[in-house]
Amino acid sequence: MSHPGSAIAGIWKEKWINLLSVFSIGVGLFILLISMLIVYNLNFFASKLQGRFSMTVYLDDGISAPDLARMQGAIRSNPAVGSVSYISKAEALAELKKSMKDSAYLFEGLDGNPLPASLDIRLKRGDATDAMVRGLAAQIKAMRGAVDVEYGAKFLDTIESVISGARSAGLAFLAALLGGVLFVCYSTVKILFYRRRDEVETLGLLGATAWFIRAPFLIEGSVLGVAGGLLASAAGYAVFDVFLAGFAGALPVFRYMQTPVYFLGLLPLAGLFIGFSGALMALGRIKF
Amino acid sequence: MVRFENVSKTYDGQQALSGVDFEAGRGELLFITGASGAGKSTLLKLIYRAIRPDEGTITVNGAAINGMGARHVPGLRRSIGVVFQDFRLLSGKTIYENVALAMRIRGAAERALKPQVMETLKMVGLRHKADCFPDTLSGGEQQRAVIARAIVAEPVLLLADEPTGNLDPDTSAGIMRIFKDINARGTTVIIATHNRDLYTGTGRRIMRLASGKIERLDVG
Ligand SMILES: Nc1ncnc2c1ncn2[C@@H]1O[C@H](COP(=O)(O)OP(=O)(O)OP(=O)(O)O)[C@@H](O)[C@H]1O
Ligand SMILES: [Mg+2]
Repeated sequence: MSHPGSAIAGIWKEKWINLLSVFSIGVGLFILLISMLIVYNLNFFASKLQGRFSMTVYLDDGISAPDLARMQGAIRSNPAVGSVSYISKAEALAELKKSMKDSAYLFEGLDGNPLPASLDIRLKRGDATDAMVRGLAAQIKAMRGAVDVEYGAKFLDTIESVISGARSAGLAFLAALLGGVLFVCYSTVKILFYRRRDEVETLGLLGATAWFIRAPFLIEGSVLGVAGGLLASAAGYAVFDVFLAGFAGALPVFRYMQTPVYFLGLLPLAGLFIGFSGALMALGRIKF
Repeated sequence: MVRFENVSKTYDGQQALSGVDFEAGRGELLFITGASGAGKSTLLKLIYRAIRPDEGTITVNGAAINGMGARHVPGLRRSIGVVFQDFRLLSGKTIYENVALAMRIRGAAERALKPQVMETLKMVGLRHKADCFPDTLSGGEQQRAVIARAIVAEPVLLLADEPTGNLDPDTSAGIMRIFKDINARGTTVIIATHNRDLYTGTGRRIMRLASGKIERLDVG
């Protein structure tokens, strides 16, 4: 029996311990998957929020063309700004009418256009800090032809800091989980090694090298990790497929949930890595 | 091949060997005898470095093994075949696998393995038990499996600790013939035994131990 052979025999001989540990690893990796999903989605929403980060400058009806051009120039040259578009009074009204077409009667008898023209500024993702946005707003407000500047910096900042707090907590939790799964692999292999210490001693007396002795245990640790990973993947697949599909219809929150399928493939790989490392740590130095 | 110079060993302060000096030459077949507890197993264990002496120098195959680094120990042990007094068969492996293990540890190719293992099992009369597990074998059969494992890889040094303790006189004689054959092919053989039948009339050296000391050297 070669190393894989004796590893399989070893796994079978201690099937209950191994089953238990595969199950624990599976549960750990499944929770890991869920927290990875949460962190991933928080990142995703955070990036979306930053993308929507915008500022609107309401213009005086009587703004002169040179003043408008100067204002646009100043805005464009600001490093936090991604793009600037001019929305005329007519466009603003058309937009409003379109969004309220069920209540079109409201606009009957309306003569003239009460809406101001505006500049719609999209800020660069990530690059726009709170201070920069505040500075830009103050700068524009001081210019001739600007009536008001509106931006949701405060609100967005709050959301963003909540998200980044949750993200850090999620990452810490993830690290703790990884540690936990590693510990399960470590202790399982430690137990298996302890139970077979007579055999290990005999192998040593027969002249086996440390790596010869370690090999079946390393294979066992890796197999346990991969098996746990597959279990977690299967559970994850069920959740993605059944649970989310059902909920997405009912609860709008889930409709925007990102479920990257490659996460499922990562779990057995993570299991392999953790199982192998845990086993390696459990074996340590082999004494002769 | 093996040289002890003033070797002493105590277990928890209790003297097991004291001031042992001897040399087993290359190609020799040497017997060690003495009462139970005289220190025969202790002496053999010192050679394959299962234990280390409190005092003295031990040289095996030209290498001083006292100060030998841990990473050289597997190599030393691979040059030695040991028939353990307590057998040490792996209960989870078949007899075939137990014997093959000695070859695998020495890095033998999978293809070369089978004929050699089967041949050795045949030599000790266990060919028909190849697929059995140790627990299902009689004491004598287990002992022969241990002998097969010790000789299968053709070590330069063979240490046999009470190799016929569980065998009837006829089987013992058969095993002794195998040891002589191996010895004739150049392997140094050291046999620790109470069994007079093994050494009487052989014309080989016999080292008698008593209370951890060499009492005298005889010729059988
Ligand atoms: N691991 C040990 N711990 C403590 N004392 C030991 C140990 N091994 C052996 N001894 C003691 O050392 C002495 C020599 O033991 P050893 O096993 O070498 O004897 P032996 O000659 O092989 O005996 P036998 O013929 O019964 O096998 C004995 O008194 C024994 O009790
Ligand atoms: Mg003994």
